[in-house]
Amino acid sequence: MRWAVCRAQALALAGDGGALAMSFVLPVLVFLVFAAIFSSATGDDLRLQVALADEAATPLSRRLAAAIARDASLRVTSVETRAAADTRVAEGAADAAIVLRRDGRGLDTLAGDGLAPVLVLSHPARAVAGGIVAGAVQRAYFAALPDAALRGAVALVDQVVVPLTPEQRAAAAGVLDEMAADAAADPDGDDGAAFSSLVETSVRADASAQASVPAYYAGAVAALFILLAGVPIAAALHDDLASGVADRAVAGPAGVAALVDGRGLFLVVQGVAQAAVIFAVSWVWAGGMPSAPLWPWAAAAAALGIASAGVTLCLASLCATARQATTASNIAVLVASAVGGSMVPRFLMPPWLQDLGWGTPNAWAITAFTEALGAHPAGPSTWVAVGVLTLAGGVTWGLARTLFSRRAVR
Amino acid sequence: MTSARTPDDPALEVDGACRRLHDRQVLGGVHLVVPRGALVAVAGPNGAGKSSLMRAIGGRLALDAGSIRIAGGDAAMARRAGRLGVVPQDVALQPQLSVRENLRLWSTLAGTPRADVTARIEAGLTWIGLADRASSRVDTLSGGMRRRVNLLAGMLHRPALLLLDEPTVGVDADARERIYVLLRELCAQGMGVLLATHELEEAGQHCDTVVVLDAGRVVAAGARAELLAAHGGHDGEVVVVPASADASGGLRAEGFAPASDGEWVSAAAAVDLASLERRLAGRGIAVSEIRLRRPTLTGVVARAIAAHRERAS
Repeated sequence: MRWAVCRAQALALAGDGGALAMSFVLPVLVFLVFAAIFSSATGDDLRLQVALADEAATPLSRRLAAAIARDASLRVTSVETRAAADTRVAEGAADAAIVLRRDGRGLDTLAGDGLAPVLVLSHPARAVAGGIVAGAVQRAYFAALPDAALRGAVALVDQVVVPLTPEQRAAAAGVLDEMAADAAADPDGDDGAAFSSLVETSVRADASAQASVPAYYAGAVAALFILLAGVPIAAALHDDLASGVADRAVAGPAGVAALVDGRGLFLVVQGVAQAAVIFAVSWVWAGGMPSAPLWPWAAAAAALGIASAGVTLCLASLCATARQATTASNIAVLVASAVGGSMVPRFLMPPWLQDLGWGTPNAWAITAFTEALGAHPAGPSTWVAVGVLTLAGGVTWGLARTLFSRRAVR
Repeated sequence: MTSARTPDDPALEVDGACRRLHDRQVLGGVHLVVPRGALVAVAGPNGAGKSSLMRAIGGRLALDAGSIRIAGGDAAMARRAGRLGVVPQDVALQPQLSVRENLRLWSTLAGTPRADVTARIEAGLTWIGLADRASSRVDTLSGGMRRRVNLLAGMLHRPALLLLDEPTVGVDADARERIYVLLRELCAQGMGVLLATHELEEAGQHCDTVVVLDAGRVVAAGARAELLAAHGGHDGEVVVVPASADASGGLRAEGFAPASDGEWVSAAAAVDLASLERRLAGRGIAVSEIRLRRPTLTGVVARAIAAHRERAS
């Protein structure tokens, strides 16, 4: 009997082009957008807009400005003054600005009084850009101005550590002048004069780690849309109460719980189908199927479907009208999706928000999907997440049956 | 102790059904019997308790006191056993699905044996005259066709009792006739049918019994002829429309009773209208209209309700 209701829901969906698009096409489009945003924000494709004002206009500052302009992670626009740079940041035309100060210490003076030779300006709304740009400036400085850095170091040793003899100072100055000439003549040269990078970044390249990249984005989008797709179907329980459908169900052997169960079963089936479509697109986007077996993924998809069905049916049953149920459930789903990592990667969130995220199905679903596809065999955290989702779905589903039955029979 | 069910048990027995809802007595001790094969209508003004009674029988309203038995058994058990069919006032069908798909859904939910579903649907579609529209989406059907599908969806599992809430509302005269013909055929097969309606004349014409409710109580019950006889119906009646309500004492003295639409009605024997008008004028009653008419069920029921309210007050 429950399958009869489930089948009717499926047939109704098949005949509703708009609902089909909302359930299966929109999630794919959103996945593609989210994947592009998330992966560029956390990968090598990041390019910040930067305004650069070289107020110092010295040979060293010009070399540094040129080196900064060559940085592939920045899109540099030159401006005349700090005020102009400040304006571009304030207006949002630049994510951050770099000012090579006229009134600062020299670029070859590592210590001493006076203002820092380089000022990085950023906007509070894009504060993270300031840190990224500051790192880029330091990288450019040590790569393009090794002579300036060493000249500062020699002066520091001379003043603070061991006083140098006049001969030593002259010898050091000669070598550093030669180094400066070489660096100025060939800014992109790799003749060993530049400082070697202190930090090397390595991204795991094994298949399981690669598979977890689309799994995160696809899981995040799947959780959001599977929950959203459940809202109108669950809210329609109130239409059943008002239209006479509940009269028929209560009067028959199936009882009113069949309406809850039938819709719930449909939501599980629809959820697995939605997840399959979204992940299939993600694998095409990533260039191939994951090497991990798919049955842990299937378990994660089914668990998410059960959780989505239970949560949305329970929310609908708690509300007095379909309109109230739709509004309240949409708000709950959007908040849960924001907190649970479906809109912003969780690792970018403050710790307390990450902890709060464990109270949402989204966080558990993302964990289940990434662990299911990223580990061979699927690790225990996969099954913990699947278990949490299934348990939460089962409890809320049961609650929905009780609450809806009480609404149907007064 | 529950006695064993027999084929002679009435399709429905409601005994002293009481329910208070939102500080109002919506059912005040209703007694009602629907024999097998009988077509019974429940009528009454808005708020009389018709819907509450139907919901109580259908299981959506719990009783504070009293009992409901369907086909000789406890109502809850009978519902679980598929002995009750419900045809709601709203066309409770999935508009995007075809007629056949809707019937499959509801016959399955009602407990029709799986092996019989297809055959009963096809036979039912022929019976309601919609075999050629079986594959049509419900939202493409006319109102009358939807009513017939709605009716079929409620009885494909062959219940002992079929409840219908306003089955003819919003359909034309031909479609109404057709629905009553279908209901009569169901009764002929032994099914008890109880319908709630505002259409008293229609109910009186087609139903074996009309039960009149007011304020949650049965104020009159019987076949049309019985109701007319019991509540002042004669071969004819005199209707007087007075100029003012101040004339009520004089009208009562002349044997008139108030009707629901502002008229005053009296049973007519061989009355001389001109003589009556003179007598009324002699009592100081200026009438705006006086006429002789055949009695209607609506009129006698209105009088029965008015009399009941007078007694109650």
